[in-house]
Amino acid sequence: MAGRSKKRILNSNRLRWLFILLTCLSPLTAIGQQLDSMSLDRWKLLRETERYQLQIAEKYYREKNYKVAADEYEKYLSLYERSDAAAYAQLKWSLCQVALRRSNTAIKEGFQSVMDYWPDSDDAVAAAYYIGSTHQGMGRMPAAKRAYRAVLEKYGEHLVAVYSAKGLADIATTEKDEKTILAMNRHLTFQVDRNRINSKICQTASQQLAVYFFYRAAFDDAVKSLATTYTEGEPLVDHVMSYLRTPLSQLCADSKSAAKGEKLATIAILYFRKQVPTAMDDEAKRVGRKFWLHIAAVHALARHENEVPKVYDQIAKLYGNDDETLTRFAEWYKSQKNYGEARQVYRRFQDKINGLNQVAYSYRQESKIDPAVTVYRQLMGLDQDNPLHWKAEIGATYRSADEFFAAETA
Amino acid sequence: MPRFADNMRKPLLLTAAYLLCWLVVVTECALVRILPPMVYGLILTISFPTGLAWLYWVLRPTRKPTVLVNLVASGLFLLWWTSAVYLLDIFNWGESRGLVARWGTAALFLIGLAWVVWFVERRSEFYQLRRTEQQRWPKALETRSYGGEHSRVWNPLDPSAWYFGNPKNKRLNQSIATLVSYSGSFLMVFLLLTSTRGCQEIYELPSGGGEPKTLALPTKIQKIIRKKYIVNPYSSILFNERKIDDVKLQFNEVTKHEYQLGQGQGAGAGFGGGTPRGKVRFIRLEYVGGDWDQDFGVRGDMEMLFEYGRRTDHKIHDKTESRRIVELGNFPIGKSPPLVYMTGQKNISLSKSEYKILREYLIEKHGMIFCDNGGSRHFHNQFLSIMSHILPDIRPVPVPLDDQIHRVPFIIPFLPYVAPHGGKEALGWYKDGRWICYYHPGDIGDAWAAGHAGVAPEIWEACYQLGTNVIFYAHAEYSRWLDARKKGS
Repeated sequence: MAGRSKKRILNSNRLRWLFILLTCLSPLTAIGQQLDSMSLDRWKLLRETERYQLQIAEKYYREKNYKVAADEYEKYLSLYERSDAAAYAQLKWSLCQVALRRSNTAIKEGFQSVMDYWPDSDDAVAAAYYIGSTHQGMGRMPAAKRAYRAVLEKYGEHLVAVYSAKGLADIATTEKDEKTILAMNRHLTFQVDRNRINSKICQTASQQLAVYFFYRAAFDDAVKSLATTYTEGEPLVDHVMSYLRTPLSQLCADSKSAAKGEKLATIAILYFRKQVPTAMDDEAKRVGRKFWLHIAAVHALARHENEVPKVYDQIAKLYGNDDETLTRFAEWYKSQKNYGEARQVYRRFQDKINGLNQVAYSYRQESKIDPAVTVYRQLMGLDQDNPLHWKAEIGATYRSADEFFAAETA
Repeated sequence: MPRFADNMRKPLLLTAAYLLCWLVVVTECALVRILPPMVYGLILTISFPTGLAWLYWVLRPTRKPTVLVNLVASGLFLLWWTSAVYLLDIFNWGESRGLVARWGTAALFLIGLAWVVWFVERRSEFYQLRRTEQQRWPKALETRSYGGEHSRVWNPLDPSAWYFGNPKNKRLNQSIATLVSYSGSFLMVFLLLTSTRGCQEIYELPSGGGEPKTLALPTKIQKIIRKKYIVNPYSSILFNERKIDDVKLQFNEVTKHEYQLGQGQGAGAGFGGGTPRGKVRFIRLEYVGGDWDQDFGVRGDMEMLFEYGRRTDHKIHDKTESRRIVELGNFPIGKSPPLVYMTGQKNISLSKSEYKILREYLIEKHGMIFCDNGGSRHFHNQFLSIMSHILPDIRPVPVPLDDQIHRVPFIIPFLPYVAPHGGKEALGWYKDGRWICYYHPGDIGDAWAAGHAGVAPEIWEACYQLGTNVIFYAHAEYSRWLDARKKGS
């Protein structure tokens, strides 16, 4: 008897915790609801029989058995026309029609009916958006654009406005309508209050907008759009560098846009210099070195061949040399086909074995077999724990030059 | 020798006259084609006995020179091959025509290569022999030099030419150079011939009118008057007196539909923008790289054209046709085909000008492409890729089942297919209020062909209905466009 009462107390405690958890999560679930699902508040208003019928339809819908689901939603509508979920059932019936490739029927007899008969319901808002997306799915772009614009105008604060703006941006991308792409991405980046559901769309829009601005050498605008997605400081600066790479490289590669590229590079360098921390503690040094490496990368992308070594010298002066920085420096020399200078840099590595290994590898990249083998033999003497590893490298070097007999001997 | 000339003069003259006639007919057939088919058939068929007679002459024991035999055989191949291709085309054996044309081209390449090798070999031997003689008797041949130690030889027929490199490999290099230059020349000539446009031609819709509506199945009302029992009025049995009009109507007999299928106003089934001479034609696109002629002609897409005529009462052409993509440029705006059909299962290789012609055809000439995946996912990807080049600003979308194209004149409740090579949904490219391309992913052409690829009757029937819908849609849209143009002008 005592055991049973203890169990009951435990159960009631569990229920209490469950209730607290649900109360905490309710705002999240409210945000998380999608356009094609009904809120818990509305579910709770339904009668048992209504709920049962709707759940049957929902089950088939989840299983993607749209034909049966459509019949069940229709049954619900004919049985419980005055129910609170009637608009929802009509909406879901229309979505079933879309899935069954009866898009015209879905629009004329489904979504439009939701808007006409239940104009104040949440489902009418969703239906307005679905009219646009269904038109888009059918390739009727002018009709889709009209529907999306109507949604943006009428329900600017609703989630559907975000989806509609994205739809408009997608159509504009296909039609190469730059003006609309810019307008929609601006809207999504700066004017939409982000939440868990729409943040992904807004983030993508901000990134696309930043790239668009970089291509037009509007560096500050690009940074502003990225700042809506990334926190100020190191994450933002790193992402600015990441999204700057392709536009800068492409602008500088073409003689027609080289002036624009040069302007972009100059502003970017000033920006990164400004971001370098003045403090000299370990963390500030790490961040400072990283930002200086960004500056070096910008010089490299802008083809400032004379400036890149100076920046690496500056890094060495300010923060000392580390192997990672030297690796980047040597890689840049290699990208310039200046293997000799790259080897000089590798020889300055603190990790001598790794440095020499890189030297040998650079010889192999130049198809200079004998010097590579000489360096590997030097490594065999230096790294006495792994002589076989270096021997294998010698063999691989010969093999890469199709000298199989020498490889076998090695 | 004079005796030979005397004997041969008459046959030679006759053959020359025939060849001239043959050439004229072939050129006319390729460019204009206005003569009756029997004329082509007669002239081209004569080439076979004529050729056999010459072959017999050349193979007689008295005629020895092998070169002459080979020369006559090569000439006969060219004559027979061309005649066969045109005969098959005239009598609508499209698939066989494609096969003969393809294999014949390959054979022609090999025959040409054999002759080139023979010629180069002979000349090489000649030069080598002369050089040897020159070394042996330098004075006797001092008037002409054949590449001594110090002179540079430029002649490509001479294996000692300086650009053939190392003396060890000179013969090999000469052979490779010969092969490469011959293949290149052959390819260039082939491309040149296949890219020639030909003369202007026109396509006209059949005149008439009608409504683009779904075919209803109206019923004929059949009156069945119940038998009346005549009984003695003074009988003790009481019968309710029946009214004369109390009859039971039975709706059980399907009758002919009452309205005409078409577009616009005019007498008879047809199109408002059509002409009395106009006919619905089924034109297939020829392209390089694949088997464009799958199920072509009689027992192939001809069945579809015939079914279209039967179901719509529109006038149809007596055979299906094919055109190269460049030939689409020959049709003027307003007189171009509303629909062209394309199928295959291998590669599609188009040139830049072909992309341009297709775009012009779809956008400016208000045309439509009906593509059918004849058997592979590869073809599906290829077709989507070429469409993205032709129409970069339009993306393909699944065609709704309740769209007009799936409802008029027949309601298509599901997409019928033989095998879902490219999925189970028809794709469409929609622009300016109409479908400009309809892509069927599941080998609809196989269902139209004789034997129906073994699919169930309801499937091939639905395939015919879908084919009818697409052809009708394209023609109705084209007619509407012609009307709008007329009003506009």
